[in-house]
Order: sequence, then structure tokens, then C-alpha cells
Amino acid sequence: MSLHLVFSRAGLKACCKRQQAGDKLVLLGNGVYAYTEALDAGIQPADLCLLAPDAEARGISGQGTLGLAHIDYPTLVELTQECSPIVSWNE
Amino acid sequence: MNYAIAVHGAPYASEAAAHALSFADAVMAGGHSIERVFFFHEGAYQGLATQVPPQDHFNIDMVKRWQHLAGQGVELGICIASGIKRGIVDKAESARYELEHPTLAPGFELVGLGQLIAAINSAERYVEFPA
Amino acid sequence: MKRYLFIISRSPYASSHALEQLEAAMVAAVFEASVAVLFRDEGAWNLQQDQTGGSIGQKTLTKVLDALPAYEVEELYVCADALGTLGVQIDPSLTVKPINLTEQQSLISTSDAVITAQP
Repeated sequence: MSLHLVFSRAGLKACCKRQQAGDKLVLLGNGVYAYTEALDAGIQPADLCLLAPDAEARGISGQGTLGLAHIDYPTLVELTQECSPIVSWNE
Repeated sequence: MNYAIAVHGAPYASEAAAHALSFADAVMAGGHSIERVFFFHEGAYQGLATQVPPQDHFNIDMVKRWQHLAGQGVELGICIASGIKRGIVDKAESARYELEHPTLAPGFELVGLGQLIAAINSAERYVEFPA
Repeated sequence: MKRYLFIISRSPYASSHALEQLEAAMVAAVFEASVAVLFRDEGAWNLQQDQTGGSIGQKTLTKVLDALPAYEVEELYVCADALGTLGVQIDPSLTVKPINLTEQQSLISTSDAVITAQP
């Protein structure tokens, strides 16, 4: 099971084509803006989350993100322990 | 778990430092270890000693936060090829190229690309922060 | 022995991304890792035939690719979609395997470390 760190919309597009069912995706930085596109691309809500401080900074509140999890850094670290490899996508 | 972390984003052009530092802090707080933080490409600029961030800018803390991490025993390795071509030089390289001053911030060191591979080989996880 | 995948997503010359990724791939191979390189999206342009980097004072990227087998970096892949969309004409001196997205998924998931080096 891979973990995909998605830092932008362009990164999300490239990632979605190359991730497998069951992989986990975390939206960070500008990637948080792309949560609806991730769901539209068929990523399962249980496999998708946003990095909470980045979402909050951008006014993307938990209430508005369709029940998606907003995680903190300790949870991000836990995810990295559960998954390998960890792949970053920014373009 | 032991981590190798790579930073590819530059100050101001990216949030790479903020992301990497907060991740590294959480790794250490979780009782894990960091084999090395490797700065590659534009990420080399994170180790520039002569940055003068505006007083009210969050970047004012970045070099200090990196140095705090180094103080906890984490090696901060700037890829020597990425660094020197961008003017990030230590005393040795400054002398070699007859430059006026070293520009590498304390806490960082210039290392070969092999140190990235060695770190990944030794660690259980490799995490990149492009942005 | 760890399995490394280097992903090249940018075209040559406008940035040093591809060149630096290939240098890293060669170093990884020297450390006796198993190394694969995937060219995706604009990165497929690195494979274009008839490049003359010297026209702009740069190293010709395909010449660097020619040197990879000497470093035992022989697993080169290119995204088949990118080839189709961009119309890249692969340099005949190169041995690169076009792979589809499903194969790329597998390439990624079976790697221990994926190095993308996007700035």
C-alpha cells in the first residue's frame, strides 16, 4: 500500500492515474484545494485526507470538505509508517 | 522507524521547509529517528546563511528551526552539486573557488549525492517535500 | 537491495531536473541498488531524437542517457500516454519501454523508494 503526498492540482492529476485502489492520499499545501477533484476521480473518501493546518490556512474548513478527514502531523507520520513507498506529487 | 527526508523546494517559492520541519518534528516527537535531511535542487537555498527574512515573515524562524533540528543530532546535508552552483559554499569550497565568503549556514553541511542514497538505504522510509 | 524508481517529469534544458535525476540514478546504481527510471508527461521529451544541447551551450541529454547502461541503469520506461499525446520521437539509440498507467502503478507500488525531485 503506497502513500501519495499531493501538493497541487497538477500533482493530483498525475497521481490519480498512477495510484492503486487501497493506496492512501494526503492533500497538502495547494493540494487541499483539489479535494473535490480527488473524489470525482474516484478516490474513496476513506483513502483521502487533508493536512489540517494547510486546509485551515486556506479557509478550507472541515465542515465543507464532505466528511473528509483533516489530519495533523503526528497522524501523517503514522500514515508513513503504515505505507510504502511514499510518493510526492507536485506536477 | 528511521526516516530519510528530502527537501526540494526553495524558501519563499515553496512551503517545503515548513512542511519538512513540521514533519521532522513530529517524527522525532513520535520517538522515531531521521537518518538525514537531504537538500537537493532548489532546496539547497534552505541552507543559505545570508538570508534576511522580513521581521514579520514566518521564514524568519526557518533557518533557526533547521539548526534546532541539527542540535538534536539530525544531519542536514545539502547536495554539494546543487549547493555550490547556487552559491551555497562552505569554508573549503569558498577557498577552492576563491570566493569572498562562505555562505553555508551553521548546522548544515555540503555532502555528495551518495549521502542521499546512503540515507535511503539505511532508512525504512523516504519522504520528499517538493513544496 | 533496495528498489529505486526515479521519475522524470520535466523536459530537458529549461531546468536541470532531468540531468540531476539521471545523475542521482547513476549514483544509486553505484551503491548497488536496483534502479528504474520512468519518464512521464513533459519528461518524455528527454527521449526525443536529434537533440543538440550544444546549440544552447548545454550537455545533450540523450548523450547522458546513452551512458546509463555503463552504470547498470538499464530499466528505462516512458509513459505510453505521454508519447501519444506529445508526439515524441524516441532516439533510436535508446532502449526505453513504453508502459501504460496500470504498469506504472505496479512499478511504483513495487519500489522501495520513489524519487521525484520536483522542485
